[in-house]
Amino acid sequence: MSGRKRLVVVGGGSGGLILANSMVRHGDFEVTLINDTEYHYYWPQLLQIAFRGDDSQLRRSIYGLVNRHVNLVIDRAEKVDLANRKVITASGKEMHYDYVVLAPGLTIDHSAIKGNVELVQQFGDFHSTPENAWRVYNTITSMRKGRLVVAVADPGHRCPPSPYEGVLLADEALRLRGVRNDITITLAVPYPRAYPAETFNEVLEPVLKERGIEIQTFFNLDSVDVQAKKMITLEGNELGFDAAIVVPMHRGPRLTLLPEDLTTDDGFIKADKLTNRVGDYDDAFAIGDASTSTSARTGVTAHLQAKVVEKRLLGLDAINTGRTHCPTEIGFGLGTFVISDYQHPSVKLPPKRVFYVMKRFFADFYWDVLKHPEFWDPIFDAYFDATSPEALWKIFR
Amino acid sequence: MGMAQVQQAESEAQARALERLLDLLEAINNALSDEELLRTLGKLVMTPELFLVVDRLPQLVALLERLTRPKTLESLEALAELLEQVDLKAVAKAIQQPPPEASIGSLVRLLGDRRVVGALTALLSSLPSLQSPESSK
Repeated sequence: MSGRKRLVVVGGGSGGLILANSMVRHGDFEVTLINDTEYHYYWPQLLQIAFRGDDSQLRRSIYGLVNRHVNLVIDRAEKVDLANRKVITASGKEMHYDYVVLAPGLTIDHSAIKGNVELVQQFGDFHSTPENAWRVYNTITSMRKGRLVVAVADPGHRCPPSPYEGVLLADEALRLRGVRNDITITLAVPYPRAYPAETFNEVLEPVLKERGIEIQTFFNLDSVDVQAKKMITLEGNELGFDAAIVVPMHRGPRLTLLPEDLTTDDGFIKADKLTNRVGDYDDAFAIGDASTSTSARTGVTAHLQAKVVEKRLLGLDAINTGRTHCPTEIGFGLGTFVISDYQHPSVKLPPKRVFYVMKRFFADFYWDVLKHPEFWDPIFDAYFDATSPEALWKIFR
Repeated sequence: MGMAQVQQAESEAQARALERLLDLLEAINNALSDEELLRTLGKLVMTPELFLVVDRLPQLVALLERLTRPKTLESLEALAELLEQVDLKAVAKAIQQPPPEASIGSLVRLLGDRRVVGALTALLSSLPSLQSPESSK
């Protein structure tokens, strides 16, 4: 026995990778990272594929992103038994731990909306796979006239601003092709306004209107009739389309967690929103998209949660502030951020070119942030401090 | 620690540093290959104000050179110290009050005030250092 504590991290997304690479630098932890593929995916790139045909930043080999002192296991974690402190993989390996951090991400369930599987085959989406994002690209580059509908089926979807980025980037692409005047773009959402957070809606709705995007509120999607080209709501209302994309239903990870009452009906892992602790287990944490503790299903949130868990594993009393920091692209070289925390609603940050530059810059340096958290931690600490919702609310009222 | 261990630790540190350098270069390469980023940066930076600054650059550099001469900096520092001593509340109050009746006598009294003399001396001593290089030849 080396005397070092065994930490098993399940999932090599942004939260899991940052945590593993951070913890391995504290010499008293023996870190194992389990990931089900040899690649790490940068999911926001699906939007770039769908509307710009650019997949340059989509994925990297996970071997190149993991600190060489982390024990990387390519396998699927199938079962986590919290009472017996062990993780069992699909290939039958049993890994015992002193601490476990669950960051396996989520799964997409197209079949939860009747007709959506067929719809995705035809028009694609930008929340599931690169193949489906390429289908959207084919739709956007071949459509000449009619109505394009983007409908939000799941309010808890990954990357809260993504449907809005989707319609605005579609608008940009169609304008650049010179066919925008012949195509109506409709955004259908289940909320009472375009964007669920009222304060950020004040930023986004004028942009959507200015760009001629129709907004359908209180749209509770029930099913899609691909043959008849219409969407049907729970209330029986219909919305016709020539091309349509549904932001699909999200489910928890493909992972059996014991005891079973620590997952929701949708399969998400119940975790404390302040500490990320799973149930009453002091040695188990859940971060990122898979957990119920997340304030927004984004890489930035998973990153911040990973830093909280790192501190807690080191015996410090750190808690989540619920900070969100979602870069939002609105097309034509403009961008903004959705910035909020548990104490403050989303800041009314107006679209600026400099915010778009920041978004691109973050994306280009994303891989380095994953691999070298020790280099970026002080930079991000200062950055997040300077851009705290409290400070920004004093400027952007 | 034996010599072999020291050498091993050194080579590990070198390998780490090299890896870090390569990763940073890759990140910079990512940014420099990002046409969308460069295009937007170009639009952000290339404004009429930038051309104005570029056009006036020689004058701005000359001004900076004058402002950063040790003697000028000393004078500015003396001025700043004096300003720190000024009672801003009293100044604000004095501005709000109706001006006193002007008379030669009150002006002479004011010029005799020790603080006024000090401020004027500092101001006058800073003036020669603000001369342009040509005029000081």
